[in-house]
Amino acid sequence: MFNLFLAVSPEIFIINATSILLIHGVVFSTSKKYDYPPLVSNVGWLGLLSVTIAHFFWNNLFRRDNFTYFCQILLLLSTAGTISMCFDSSEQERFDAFEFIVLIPLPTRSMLFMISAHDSIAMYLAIEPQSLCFYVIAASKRKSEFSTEAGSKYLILGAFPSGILLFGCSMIYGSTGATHFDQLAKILTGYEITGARSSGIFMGILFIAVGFLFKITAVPFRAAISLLTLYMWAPDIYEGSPTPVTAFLSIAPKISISANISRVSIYGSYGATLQQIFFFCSIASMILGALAAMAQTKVKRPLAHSSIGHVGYIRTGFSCGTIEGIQALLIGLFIYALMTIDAFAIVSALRQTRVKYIADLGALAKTNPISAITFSITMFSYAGIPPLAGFCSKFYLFFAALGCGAYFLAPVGVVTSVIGCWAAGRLPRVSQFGGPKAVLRAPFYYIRLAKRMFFDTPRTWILYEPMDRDKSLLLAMTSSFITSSFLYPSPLFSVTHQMALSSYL
Amino acid sequence: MNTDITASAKPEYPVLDRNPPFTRVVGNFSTLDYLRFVTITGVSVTVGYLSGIKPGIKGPSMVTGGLIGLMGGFMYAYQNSAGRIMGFFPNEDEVARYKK
Repeated sequence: MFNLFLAVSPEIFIINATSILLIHGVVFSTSKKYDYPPLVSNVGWLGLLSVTIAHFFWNNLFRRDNFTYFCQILLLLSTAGTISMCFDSSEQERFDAFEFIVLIPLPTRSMLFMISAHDSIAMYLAIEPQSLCFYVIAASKRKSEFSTEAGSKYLILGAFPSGILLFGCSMIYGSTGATHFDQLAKILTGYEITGARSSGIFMGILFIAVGFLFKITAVPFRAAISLLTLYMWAPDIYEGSPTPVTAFLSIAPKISISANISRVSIYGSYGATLQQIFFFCSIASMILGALAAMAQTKVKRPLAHSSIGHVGYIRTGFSCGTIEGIQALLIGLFIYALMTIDAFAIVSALRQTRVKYIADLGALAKTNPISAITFSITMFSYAGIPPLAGFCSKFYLFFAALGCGAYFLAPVGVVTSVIGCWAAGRLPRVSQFGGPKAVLRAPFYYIRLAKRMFFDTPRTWILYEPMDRDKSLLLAMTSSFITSSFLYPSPLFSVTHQMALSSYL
Repeated sequence: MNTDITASAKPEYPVLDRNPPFTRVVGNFSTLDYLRFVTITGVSVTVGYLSGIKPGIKGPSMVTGGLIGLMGGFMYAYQNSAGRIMGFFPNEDEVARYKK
């Protein structure tokens, strides 16, 4: 009987390691003998160790399929990248709470369960602990009203889609009597063959899709609430949370929810109506993600909008309902995770010098040219400019869309990428040209980038502190992939193709 | 209770025991398994010690790292040993020992 748990040994290990870390943190952070030491970096390194050891437990034989394997490994790598951002940033921002490091592996464990869930009850039971941990870590900076506001918003607006999701699962159970995805696939295939219709099943799948789209910050669901409350909840939450937490929220739940919704869609007899809803949400997310970023003046908010837009691009992959679409989804997720880690590592390093606004980046190219170049490369990769990795992911996503007949979606994606070039180009241009007037004239500066970089005097001089070693290493790894993947993309493409095939078998 | 854990993934190598007990699996630990166990524990102790220098809790941090490494190393060695007995990993040595 003990061997039944071998299949979930990574999750068991992470739970136990997190518990040990929590006890360690509580005991020694309140220890008079050791003079109440700050434990963020200590617990951070031990947490990173735990996540690294968890990688060793992976072998295809105990996993359900290669698709699960790929998504879980990607999730663990993203978690490791996020934890490594936390070491010095907490010190610089005077944020000494080791608990938020402990609260990163906990939702990771839930997301691992979620990715491998093949039952709607298991899926929901995995989503809830993940969401609860997110609410807490979003509000982890207790002395900041922005962080508290972010956590409160996330709690209130996260409970709503959880309810919708559970209602959808209950409607499907009420109509079919099944919760396991394999059984549902057989029942729904029977409905398709006989041509029968069940409004209960259709509404259930619709509610599940809406719940997932809400959790993945899809437009118009983030905007629907905005009509009632006049807020766009996702950028507010991303801005208010501590920067490593924002990075984690931008990456990890996107991976787990995309994997889960792909699985539900594949098993749930992907119909034309559902596909049209996904396509609409993808288009809306791409458009709003690009347009809303244009008006932003702070550094984190455009990244939040960019994250929303990119999820729209990625959602194109599973909206197609083809193997090429799933492959494009996996490629998009992998490259998106790397780009986001890169971007937020730089933002986290800049925050140490109290940089909040885009205009504050004016002197970056003069005082820290390597950071400016890296940031520029990341932004251009976000924009999808070749030969960077972002171009590869968008290329495959749009090709998958064209392959399944979504001829409107691909041009919309290209246009929003061009708009995104303008919005993404503002950040490196301001970092090189400087000043609020430069922001207004940004479109004209884009062509004369090199001249501005070497001859113009920045309006705002900020002495940027050198980046710490951990972030430098992280940036080196992610940036090298972003710049060099175009030369030899075959390994990623062949691996993701194999993973996509396994999701259909 | 259905203890057939091979329902989804079929073993590729000879199956010695479909559901081996805990004691058999631990008794089947090979030199490589012990090496993995010791290496993971050693690395964890080192990481714990080094990360504890800055806050001044070298000893306790080393112990915490050691606990995490001990647990992780044991679980990893157990998974490999059980996998060999259940036929998921190459198991020529186990088959030869069984045939004796």
